[in-house]
Amino acid sequence: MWMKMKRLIAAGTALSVLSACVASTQPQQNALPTDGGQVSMPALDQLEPVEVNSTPELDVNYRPKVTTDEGGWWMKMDRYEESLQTHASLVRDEDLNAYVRGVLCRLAKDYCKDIRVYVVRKPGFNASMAPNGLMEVRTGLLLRVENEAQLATVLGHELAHYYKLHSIKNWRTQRNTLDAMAFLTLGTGIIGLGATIIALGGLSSYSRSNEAEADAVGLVLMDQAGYDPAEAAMLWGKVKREYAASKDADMRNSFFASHPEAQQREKTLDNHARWLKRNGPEREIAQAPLRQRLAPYLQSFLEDELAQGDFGALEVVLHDMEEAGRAPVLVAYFKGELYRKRGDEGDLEKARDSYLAAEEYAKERDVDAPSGLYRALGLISLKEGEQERARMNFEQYLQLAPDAHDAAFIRQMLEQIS
Amino acid sequence: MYKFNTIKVMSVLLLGLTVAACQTTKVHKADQGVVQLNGSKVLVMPLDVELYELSAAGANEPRADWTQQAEANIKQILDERLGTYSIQVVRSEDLAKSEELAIQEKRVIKFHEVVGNNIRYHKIAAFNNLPTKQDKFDWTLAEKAAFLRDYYDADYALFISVRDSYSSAGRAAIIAIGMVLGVGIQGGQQVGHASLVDLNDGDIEWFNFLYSSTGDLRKKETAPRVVDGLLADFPG
Amino acid sequence: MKMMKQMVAAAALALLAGCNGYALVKPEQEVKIADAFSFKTTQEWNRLKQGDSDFWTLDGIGLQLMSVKAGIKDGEKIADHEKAAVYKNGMTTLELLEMIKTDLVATDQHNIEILDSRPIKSGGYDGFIAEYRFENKDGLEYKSLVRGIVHDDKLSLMRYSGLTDYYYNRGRSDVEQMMVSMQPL
Repeated sequence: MWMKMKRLIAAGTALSVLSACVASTQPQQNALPTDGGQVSMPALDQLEPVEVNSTPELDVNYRPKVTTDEGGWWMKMDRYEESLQTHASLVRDEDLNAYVRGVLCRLAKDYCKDIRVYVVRKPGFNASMAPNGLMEVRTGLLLRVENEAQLATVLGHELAHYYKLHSIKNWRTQRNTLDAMAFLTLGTGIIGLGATIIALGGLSSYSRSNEAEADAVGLVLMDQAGYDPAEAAMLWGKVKREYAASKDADMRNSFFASHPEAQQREKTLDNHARWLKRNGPEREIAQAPLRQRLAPYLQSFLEDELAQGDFGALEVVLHDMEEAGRAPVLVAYFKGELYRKRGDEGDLEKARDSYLAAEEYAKERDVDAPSGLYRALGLISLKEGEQERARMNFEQYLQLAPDAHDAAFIRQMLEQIS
Repeated sequence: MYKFNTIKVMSVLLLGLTVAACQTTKVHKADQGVVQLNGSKVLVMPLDVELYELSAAGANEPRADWTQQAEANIKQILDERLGTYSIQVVRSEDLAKSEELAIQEKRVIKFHEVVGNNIRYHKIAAFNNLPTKQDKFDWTLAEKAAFLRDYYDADYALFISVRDSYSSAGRAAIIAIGMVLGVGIQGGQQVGHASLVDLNDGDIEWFNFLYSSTGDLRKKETAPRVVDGLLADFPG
Repeated sequence: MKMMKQMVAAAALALLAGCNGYALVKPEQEVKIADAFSFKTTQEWNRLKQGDSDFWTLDGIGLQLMSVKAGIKDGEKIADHEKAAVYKNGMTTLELLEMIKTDLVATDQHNIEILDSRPIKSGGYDGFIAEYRFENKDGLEYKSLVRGIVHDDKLSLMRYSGLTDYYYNRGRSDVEQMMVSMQPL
């Protein structure tokens, strides 16, 4: 996975045995980056030459023997893939799937037919790769990438995990480590043993060296496909800022602790990208096609994010979308939603300003604002004690959506106002 | 809403079954159920079987070869056992289906899994027993079963689910050392259930839960005992 | 590693359940919930009390489940999961309704529809009743009936959910009856 923090957190105490071993070699990671992800760029002559072996360690049409541990995990993941067909979270929209698949095939070339990519309706920045070629891409990731090159960054990274057999190698390492520990701890007690059983309930997270290799190979794949590898560092910078702003302290800490090179990663990616581009022609970013494809989905994807209640993280996502000039009406509206729901000091004013901005942008562009806009403005006016304004907003809402499921609630509030 | 999965249910069951007997089965039959197997058409649902190898530390590693062996063995023995009834047997996987129908069937299987997990959760471990179900067994797939009845023109559906694990050499060594130290360490185990659903009303007429720490589905010689355990008290 | 969390949750539930187990609720008997409400049921239920929470089921807690959480104060979560929304003083019934839908999205439910929703009054307090339809991750359809009431700046939530096929309807009318008739103590 590109991001593993969710799983790492969930593993929690059970994995503490393991992560302790890893973390102890790393310095404390208390200083979170707040500099907006700025990286000082080395001059061209200071570029470190990069050597990457991007050759896949498996052939096209590869299938492991059934008698191996690898064969076992392929079976398990094949079964999971079959059950995925019934999942309500599976996005079945053919256009969107074909688009993501198109980008993947541009990267994977002959291996394209060995990979099945599924778009899954889930918030958060995440994608995953199973050893059998099953790739899942979350809609939350599609929301966050700003152009096709950034999408290719993640797909290339996941593809690299597949090419380099990372899942199975990692499973073996962890299984063998825990087995050795099991013998060691047997003398001292059984408690540790219980934890390891749970920790190894499934394929475990990639190691840091796996991640670094996937980054490097991914960049080469991007480059070969004609995508600008410089977008990888841009994307990483965005993600880093988002996690630094997340309300979830566990997520933040485990992320920066498990990616101790978090600060370094952006720099490394940038150095690699510049090295790859040192003499070559211009590469493609392809912003327009991605934005065009995703436009119809943004509202539902943003609703999913809002429901997570991680307002700090969402604020960064919306800020980036705003800076990039994406969907101004929606972005302003969701900023309003975010501040209204968060309700911290000063949020009411921010919410109102955002909603009003959404209203204005909609008028300028002659498009409809989201139907909830006037209802939200009414609720804010109520909180501010502006009864008359609330009445006007609610009436406007009912006029636009007389059959709304919550019309009875609005009418009740209107009665209470008068 | 509380969501079960196999692991959850298994862990609860293990808490409930303090002593791991060699092979335990627990059969439940519907209260007013009259099963008239003879002359009927029985639909065998896709076997839900997975075999694992237990690492020294206790991690479950899926084994494709063992799973294939177990599936073949169960299938063969099942054919033999069902062959003793005068029934017509039809297998879900023998009939080609459109993608849409396949999804619809998988949802019926999911539904049965949810109901089955609830039965196991509440019926097997005493501390989770429901007072209203004390002397009652009336779980059903209701209308959800109609799809199977109509599509296969069948009267009953048989569901079989097994999760099975075997100690690796490393695990066996750990268990042996544990014994010397006086600590009991869990080795491989089998947990499974089989159920027979009346497709006319969706009622689960017979439900059998199996727990065992000794059987072996991988071998032709030992598999029949496990399958017969699963089919204990099979109605008809 | 989700599995681990679930196993711990299951073990915790099992252990807690082990303390008292499920009790039988007989029909037509006055039942008190969280020392805040009382009502009568029309059929037998199984009830499990766990700390502040109260769970009721007919056929199994994964088939249909009614849960009651009373006295949720300003700044407290409305449910026992990581992403649960937080109740705030001064929320209108409309915002409460919104919060329930958000909670369904946050718990990975899909294709959520509000089938019906209406404001209610209970003992002079404002609240709502709403019915939702959604699909879980595996694509199985569920329905949910939710009642929320705010009294003395505290939110009481009663939620009933079940598999749309058969199990939900087994308890629905009884639950709706409870929701309408339950009186603050």
